[in-house]
Parts: sequence; structure tokens; C-alpha cells
Amino acid sequence: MKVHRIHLRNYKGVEDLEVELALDGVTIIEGPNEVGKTTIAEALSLVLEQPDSSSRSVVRDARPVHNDAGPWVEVELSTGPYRLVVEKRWLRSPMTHLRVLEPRAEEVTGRQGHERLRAILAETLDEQLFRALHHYQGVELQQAALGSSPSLAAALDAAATGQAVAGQKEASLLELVREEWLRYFTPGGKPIAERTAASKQVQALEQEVLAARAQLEELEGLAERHRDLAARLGQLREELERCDEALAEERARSELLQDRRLALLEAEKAHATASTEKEDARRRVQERAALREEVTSTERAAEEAERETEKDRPALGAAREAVRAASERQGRARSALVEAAQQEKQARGVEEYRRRLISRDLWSERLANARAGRAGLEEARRVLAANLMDEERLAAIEEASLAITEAGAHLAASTGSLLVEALADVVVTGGAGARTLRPGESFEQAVEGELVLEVGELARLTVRGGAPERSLREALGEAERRFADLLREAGLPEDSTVVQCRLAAQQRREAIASEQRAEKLVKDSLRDLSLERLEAEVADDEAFIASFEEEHGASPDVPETLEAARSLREQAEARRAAAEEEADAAEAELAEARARHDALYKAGADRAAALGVARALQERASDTLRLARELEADEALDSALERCSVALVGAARRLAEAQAALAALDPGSVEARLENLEARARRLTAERGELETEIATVRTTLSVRGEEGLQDRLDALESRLEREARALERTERAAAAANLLWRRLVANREAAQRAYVAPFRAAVERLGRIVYGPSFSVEVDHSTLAVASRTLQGRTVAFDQLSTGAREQLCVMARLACAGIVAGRDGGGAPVIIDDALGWTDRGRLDRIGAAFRAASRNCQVVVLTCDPSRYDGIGDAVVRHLRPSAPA
Amino acid sequence: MVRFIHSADWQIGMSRHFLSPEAQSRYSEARLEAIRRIAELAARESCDFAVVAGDVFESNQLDRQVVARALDALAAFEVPVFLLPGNHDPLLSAGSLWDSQSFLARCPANVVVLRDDRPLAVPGCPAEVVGALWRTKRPVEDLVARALSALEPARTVRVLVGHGSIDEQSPDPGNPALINLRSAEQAIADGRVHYVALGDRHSVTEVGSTGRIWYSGTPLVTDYDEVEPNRALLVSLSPEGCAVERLDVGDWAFRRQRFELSGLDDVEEVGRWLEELPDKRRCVVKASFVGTVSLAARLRLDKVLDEHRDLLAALEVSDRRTDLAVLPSDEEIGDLGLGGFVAATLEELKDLAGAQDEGAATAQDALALLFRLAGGGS
Repeated sequence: MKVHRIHLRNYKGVEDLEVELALDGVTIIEGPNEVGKTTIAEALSLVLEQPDSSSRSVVRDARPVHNDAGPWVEVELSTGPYRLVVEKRWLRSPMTHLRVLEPRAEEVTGRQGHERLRAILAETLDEQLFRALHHYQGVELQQAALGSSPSLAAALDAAATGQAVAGQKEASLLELVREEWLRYFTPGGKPIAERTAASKQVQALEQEVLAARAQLEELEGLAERHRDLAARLGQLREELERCDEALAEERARSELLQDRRLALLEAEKAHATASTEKEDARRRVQERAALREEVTSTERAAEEAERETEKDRPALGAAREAVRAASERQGRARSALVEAAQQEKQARGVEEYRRRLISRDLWSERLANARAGRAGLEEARRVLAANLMDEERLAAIEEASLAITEAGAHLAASTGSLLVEALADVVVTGGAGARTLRPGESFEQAVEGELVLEVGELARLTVRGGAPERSLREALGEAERRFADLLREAGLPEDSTVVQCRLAAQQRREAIASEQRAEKLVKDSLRDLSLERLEAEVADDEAFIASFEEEHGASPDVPETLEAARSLREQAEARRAAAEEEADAAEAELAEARARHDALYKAGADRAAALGVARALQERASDTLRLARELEADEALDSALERCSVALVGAARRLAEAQAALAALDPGSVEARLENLEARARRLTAERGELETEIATVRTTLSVRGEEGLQDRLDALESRLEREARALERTERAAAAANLLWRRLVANREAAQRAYVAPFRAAVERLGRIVYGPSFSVEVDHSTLAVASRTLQGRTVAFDQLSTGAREQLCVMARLACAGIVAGRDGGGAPVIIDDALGWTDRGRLDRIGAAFRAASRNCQVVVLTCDPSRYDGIGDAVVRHLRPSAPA
Repeated sequence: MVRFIHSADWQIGMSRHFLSPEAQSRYSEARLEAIRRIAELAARESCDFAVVAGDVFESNQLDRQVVARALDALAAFEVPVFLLPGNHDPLLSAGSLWDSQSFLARCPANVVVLRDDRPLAVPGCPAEVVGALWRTKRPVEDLVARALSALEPARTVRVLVGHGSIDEQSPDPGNPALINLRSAEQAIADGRVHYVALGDRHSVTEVGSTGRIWYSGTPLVTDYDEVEPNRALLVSLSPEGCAVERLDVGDWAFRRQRFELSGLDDVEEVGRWLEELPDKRRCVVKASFVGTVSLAARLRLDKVLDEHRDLLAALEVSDRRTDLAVLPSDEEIGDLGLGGFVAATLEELKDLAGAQDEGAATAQDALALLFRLAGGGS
């Protein structure tokens, strides 16, 4: 289709506008915004699609803004073999006026005009392509829906295969097939709900049929079961009857058995009694025989005992004699021994006496020495205790005496002294006390100070001496004190002289020697014994001697020496030992003789006792036998035994008969059979009860369910299943056919599309290389014919990832390429209308795009609506129409 | 000389799945009508009694309404009717229809169920009837032989009523329940019975050479293979002679027909055959088609069948789809004027439809669909 011109009146903001378009190549309609550029494209669609009677929103939107007239459009166009002018007004005074100029002039108005127009368009115009080739301002840039265009498809098909075209007819058919397919499938390709439901319904019915059939079979099975049960019950009753009969029989047998058992018990008892009686009789016969035997044997025993007793008598007399002889010998030996012992004792006493005499003398000597020593010792020690003048002290006294002498000399030298010489006996008193002086005696006394002496009652002399030097006096005093002390220490009288002291010392030395001698004597005498012991020894010996002598006289007749006494004693000892031996031998002999005698005696006593017993036994046995015979004679016993034996044989026979009779009945099996039969009767009865119950149950079930019409129900269900299954099968068959057809059609269309996408892609790339250079290429989706990606300088970018400008350029080029392909075939196709595009494209690129526009539009119609004509300056020979703000024509 | 009706296999309560509910209802009614017709004929022919040799009922488990209606039909008889339990309706020890309340409560006085093997005297007539009845669905002996073995020679005319296959005709020789023909003929020769009335076979059939052993067939056709259904037998019997006459009682037809198709003419012939069928509302047809036809012929056939489906009691078409191949002719394809991918698809489907596999039928259907949608044949 090509548009020659379009004329608008009272259309939106346009009062009157008419534009003529170039049939081939680019027409640029340029004008500022709001002058109606977009309106021109809209009006073209409106006049072709909407009848004048339409009051749709697209029509109402076309109302003029400046008056209330109806919008009016007139278009002149060529499509297929037709050239026509169509004129429409809507809303107010609606009108349609179609004038077909070629190939045959015709003129139609009103509704018919619109319908004729639609018919012509349907015949010649690919309306999908017509719409796809519009590129509207303000609409989101997107790729044209070229994939659904039959014209393009047909063109591409032809380009690709050169064969028969798939045009409008095929597309319509495809749509019909799709509609048919959608009767059975969802758009997603799944069976529609009705089919699924029908299938489920059939399955459910199948299940119901199965269930109904099962019910029926169950019922039939139940009937069979009833028959079997009834048969079994009949059998059971017969069995039970037979069982009862057998049971009665077996019970009778059992009773007989019991009788025979009793008979057997009795036979057993009789047999036992007979057996006991026979045993008893036999025992008594045996006892009698034993009695007789006992009498005989006791007689024999008594005789034997008598013989034995007689036999031992002489031996016992000899033994008694032997004892007497031995006893005499022993008496003699014992007397001899007593005598020998007496003599030995005497000899021993004499020997002791001799020895004690010697001992007493020895002990007495030692005792005397010891006593003498001890007296000497006591004397010496007494002296020593009184005389302490040992050599040391003597030396000290000697020294002190010398000191006094010296000091006296010194003093005397220095002091006066008074010499008193007695001419008669006189007592001198004073000074150093009273002193009696015998004539010729004198004493001198130093005089110090004053010395008063009274001479008897004759005179008192007072002598006053000079005063000696004090130190001298003191020295003398000291020496005298020293001397006095030493004397006191030595135990000597204070007036002792040195000579006396010397004498005392001599005496002391001698005492010490005496002591030593006495000590030695004592020691030698005592040796290891004490004095008392010595005294005791002596006393002991003295006592023995005194005792002996008292017994034997003061001068006994005893051997003179100890040696002799000892010899005598030893002889006595030997004699006593011999006597002892003799006594022992005699004793032994006596003991032996006694033992022999005792043994013989005891044996004799035993035999006598045995003989007594034997005689007693013999008597008792005889008595017993006699008594027994008095009670029952031996012959009676024998005949009783005979009777009992015969009776036992009879009893044993009857017992055997009873046993045989019982065994003949086979009691074990009778009982087993009886028990078994009873158990069987119980079991059968129980089973019969169960069967009767079950039969009643089954019968009830059958009679209730048998009239429910299960067969009718099954038949109805089966009929329904049959119908629905057939319907389903028909549907499925149709669905399978529709599916096969649709799938094959789609597959083949896709295959065709894949084949013909090549020329489309080549056309887009030819235009693209003008704009972007030789490295430009694109991938095209074969089903939608949309550009999937662009490759430039070897770099591939998906369409959606491209910049807005690049996407817009590709959209425009795809439309141009499509228009070129379609127009190339038969002059059909549709105009490309580009409304205010390429606003994002930079100036440098615009020139190249212009070249592409020109190349693409060589044999097709391109209309560009723009407010910026400079964008399309690059299109070399475009026809430019300037729109001005509208003014009434 | 006694006269009686010999019928069998009434199959009351039988359903045929291929019948629509409406047709099924009419078919069931026709069965009861046949019984009434027999009663009417019995009266018209002055019969002394009637025997029904087994399968009076289709099943022991029937709805009480069905039983009630059957008994209502039986009430039309003016003579005694002896009913024999058969393999479909055996006299079980429990759960039999015969013992059900719905049967016992409504059973007309002249209807006698043969419940054991003993001869029953027919009231008002010098004749006896002996039933070899079924007590289980699976007997393990020849029931007829068993009933015969217990009989003494008859003093009056005696009819034995039995049910089952005769051993000489059975395809299942191992079946222990088969009726031994020789023993039956021997009983007739011995004078123990004078006529053996059999049921089970739905076609009228004379058995053996005595002329006294017959299957009466069913009074209303039940299947396509039945040779002579829709009959009852009128028997005139004495020890000396026996005459058997066929009586028409049923008025339904089951037709199985095979058509060979090669073109539109043959399809039209199918239409004519169907058109000429008498009494279509009581006619059941099972048609099968063999051959190869064009898409147009196939569409025409479907149309013809659809036209008659509504008229007939039932029209079954054999499911064996491979028997009839549908292939578009080149002319048909050319007429469609289809190009591009559609033409390619058409060629593909043609190839598929011509193949000898399971997909061929679907491909043929797809071709037919394409043909229809593309406006072919119009």
C-alpha cells in the first residue's frame, strides 16, 4: 500500500491540513510540535479501520479542540491493483465516501463503503505489517512485530526458497488450526481441564466397575461359601451321629471293662490271701522243724560242754601247786633281802661315824683359827681407831713443835717469864689453872702483862711482865694453836708431847701390822665359808657323833679306820644286791604261775557257765517243742500246708483268667478310643455351633444384599463406562490429530522462518554497514524476526544491552529493511512511518543514517515526521513538507 | 397328547453396554413384552403348560423392581409355568433370587420353580416335569444325566428341563458339566422322558436324532452371533410322537456388517444399506470398514454414520482403525491451494498416514482435520 495524500479537517488541533507524500523514497514532514505531525499517522489508521458510526475512544479522542464539528479525514492511496480515495467523518454528520479509481471505477458510501474498503484492504494489505512499520513518537522503543507478518513471511519465504508462498491463507489456516488445537490443549501444551477430568472420570468409573464387580463376586463367593458351609454342616451332623453311636458302643465296652477290672481286683485279692495262707503254713512247718533241730543241737552242745569241763581239771591242780611253790620261794627271798639291807645300813652308819669324827676335828680347827684371827683383828682396829697418828701427822706435829719452840724462843727473848719451882707440894693457881707441883717440879711461864699465881694458901704472887712485841706473841699463839689442832686431830691429849706423839705413831704402825696378820688368818681359816657355817658344820658333826654314840655307846665297837668301815659297807652292799636279784626272780616266777593258774581257772569257770547255759537251752527247747506239739501235732501242720498249696494254685488260675479276660478287652485302647470319641464329639459339636452361626450370618447377608440389585448397578456402571470411555477415546483421537497437525505446522513454519531469516538479516546488515561500517552484523531471532544482538568491531552486544540510541537505530533499520523486502516483491507492503525518531542519535551518525534511509527506500514509501528536520538532512533526495501552525484553508 | 411352550434364556435384567440409557430401557421392556407374547401364544395355542429352561434371570443380584416387573409379566400366563434355575440364576443354598422376598412375595400361583430333581405333576394335565436344576454356578457333573438316572420309566408324558451345553457341540470338552447327549437319548429310548427342553444356547437348535431334544433359543436377541433368536417353541408331545413348531416372539435385531470402501460410491452404498434397515429403533448395528478412501470420502462416511446413529437403537463402529486408511488424493490436496510450510506439513502427514504403523491413524485424522479447516470438500 502506498499513500498519495492525506487531508485532515477538524481533527484534534488541526483545522485543515493536507499533505502529499512521495510514493517512493522518503517524505519528511517537518514542523514544530503541536502542529499535527503525529495526528497525520493516527488519522491514517483511523480512516482505514474505524467505520463512521464508531464512537470508540480513538474516535472521540479525534474531536477538534477549536469547534464541535465531527473530525474528517480524506486519504488517497494505492493498494494491490486498487487506487482509491476514501473520505470519512465521525461523530457529527458521520459519512463515508469511497471512490475506487482503479482498476475499475466504483463509488460506495456509508456502511457499504467502509465494508468495501475493509474488503479491499483484507485482500491486499498485510495489516499486521502496516501496524508494525509504524514507529510512533512517545512509544517505548521496541522492535517491530515482524514475525507475525504474513507479507514479510511470504516475501522472505519466496526469497529463501523460491517456492510457493505461504501467504495470508496459510496464516489464517494456521490460526484455525491453533484454535482447534486450543480446544484440546492449554496454550502451554497441556491437556485442557475437561480432558483431564474426562480421563479421571473414566478411571474413576473403571474403579467403580471393579468395585461393583468385586462386590458381586464377593456375594457370589458368599453364596458358594453358604453352600460349602451347609454341605459341611450336613457332613458334620452325620459325623456327629456316627460319633455318638460309636461313643455309646465304646461306653458299653468301658463299663464291661470296669466290671472285669473289679473281677481282676478280687481275683488278685484272693490270690494274695491264698498266697499268704500258704506262706503261713509253710512258715509254721518250717518253724516246727527248726524247733526239732534246736532240741537236737542244744543236747549236743550240753554234752560237748560237759566233756570240755572234765578235760581241764588236772591242769588246774598242777597250776595251783606251782603257785604255792613260787610263793614260798618269794617269801624266802624277801626275808634275805631285808636282812642284807639291814646289814648294809649298819655298815653305812659305821662308815659315816668314822668320817664324821675326822670331819669334826678338821672343822673345829678351822673354827678356832678364825676366831683367833677375828679377835686380833678387832684389837688392831680398836687401836687404830684410837690412834690417828699416822706418819704425815707426826711430821706436821714435829714441824709445829719446832715452830713453837722457835716462837717461844723469840718471845721469851722479848718477854719475861716466871719459873716456879716447887719446893714442897704446892698447888699453884692462876695462869693456866691450878697445878700441883711436887717438890722438884717446876714450871715456867712467860709473863705478859700481869700474872697472878696463888701458891697454895701460902702466897699470891703477882708478876707483871713487860709487854712483848705483839707479832711475836701472835706467832707463838699461832704455832701453839697449830700444834693443839694437830693433837686434837690425832686424838691425843692436848698436853701430849712430841715424844708421846712419836710413841703413838709407833703404836699405830704396830697395830696396822697386827691387823694385816689377823686378816690373813681369818681368811685362811674361813676360805669360802662363813664363821657361822663353820660353826654349823661342827655342830652337825657333833650332833651326828653324839647321836651315834648315844645309840651305840660311848665307845662303840667299830673298825678303827674309815677304810675298814668303807670296806665293810661295800661288802654289805653287794650282799643286799644279790638278795634283791633273788627276790625279783622269785616274784616273777610267782606272777607267771599265778597267771597260768588264773587262766586255767577262768577257762574252767567259763566252761562251767557254758555248760549251764547249754543245759538251760536244751531244757527250754525241749519244753517249747513239747508245748508246740501239745498245741498242734507235726502231722497237722504238714496237712495244713498241703491244703494251702492246693488253694493257691486255684487262686492263681482264677487270677490268670481274670487278667486274660481284661486283656482281651484291650483296656488301653478302649480308654483311648473313648477319650478320643468324647473329644471328637465335643469338637464336632463346637464346630457345628460355629457353622450354624456362620451359616445364619451368611444367609442373612445374602438375603439382605441379594436384593440390592448389585447386578443392575454393575450393568449400569459398565454401560456408562463404555460410553464415557468411547467419548474419551474420540476426544483423545481428535486431540492427537489436532496436536500432530499443530506441532507439524509450527515446526515447519519455524523451519521456513529459519530459512528465510537469512535475507532479512542480510537486508538489515546491508543498511547497518552503511551506518556502522563493514564490521557490523546482527543475529536475528527466526520466529519473531527481532534483532537479538549486534556485533561491531568483533564485539557482540545483546539488543537489550545496547544504548537507547543504538536500539532506536536498529529498530528503524529493521523496519526499513522489512519494508524494502516486502516492497521488492510485488509493490505490496506498507509505508514505513517514522514519527520523531533518532532523537538520541549524534549528529555525525545521522548523516550515515540518512544514506541508509535513502538506500532502503528506493522502491518503498517512507514517511518521516519530525520537529527537527536537520536530523534527516543526510537523506539525499527526501521530499520535505513543512507544516505551519494551522489556519483555515 | 399335551401341548406346551418350551422357552429359555429370558435373561431378565440383561444390560447391553452399547445401548444408550434410553435404548436400554426400551430393550428391557421388549424382553418383558416377549414374555407376555409367549403367554399370549400359550393361550392361543391351547397349551397345557410352559417350561423355561434356565437363565430366567440374568443374575441372582437384581434390583427388586426388575424382579417385580418380571413377575408381573409372568402373571400373564394362564397355564402353569415351570421355571428352571440355570447357570445365571442358580438355586443356591442361600442368597438366590428364587428365595428372596421380592420373588416369593409376588410369585403368581401358576408359576412353579423347579427346586429339585423329582418329577412334578402338571396340574390338570397328564404330564410330568422334571428339572435338572443348577444349584451352583460351577457344577462338577452332568446335571441332566444325574436327574435322568433317578427316574423310573414314565407313566405319563414326561418332560425333562435342563440347561447347559451338549457335549457334542461344546468347544470346551473338558467341562464336567456338559450334558451327555447319548444318556439323554437313552432316557428317551427307555421312556424315562419324552422330551428334553434345553436352555443356554440362544439360537433355536435341534440336538441329536430323536427330534425330542431342543434348545428353544432366547425370546429376545442378545448378541450379534445368535443364529435364530427371538423364538419360542410350541411342542406337541405324546409318547408316540413329538412335533415342534417355532413361534416368533422377539422383535429386535442385532446386525453385524462389514463394508469394503474404496471411494465415495461405496460410502453412499453404506448410507443406502443403513437406510434400508427395517424397524431401525429396534435395530443394533455393528459396522466395520476396510479399505482406503480419500479425505472427502472419509468425511462423507462420518456424516452418513452420524445421520443414522440417532435413528438406530445403537450403531457401533469397529474400533479397528487400521482397517480403513484415509489418504488425501493429489487432487484434494491441489484443490486446497496451500503453499509454504502448510504444503510441507501436508506432505509430511501424507507420508505418515501411508505408513503401516500406529501413528498412521493419527496422521490420517490430522489430514482430515487440515482438510476440514482448509475448507476442503465444501
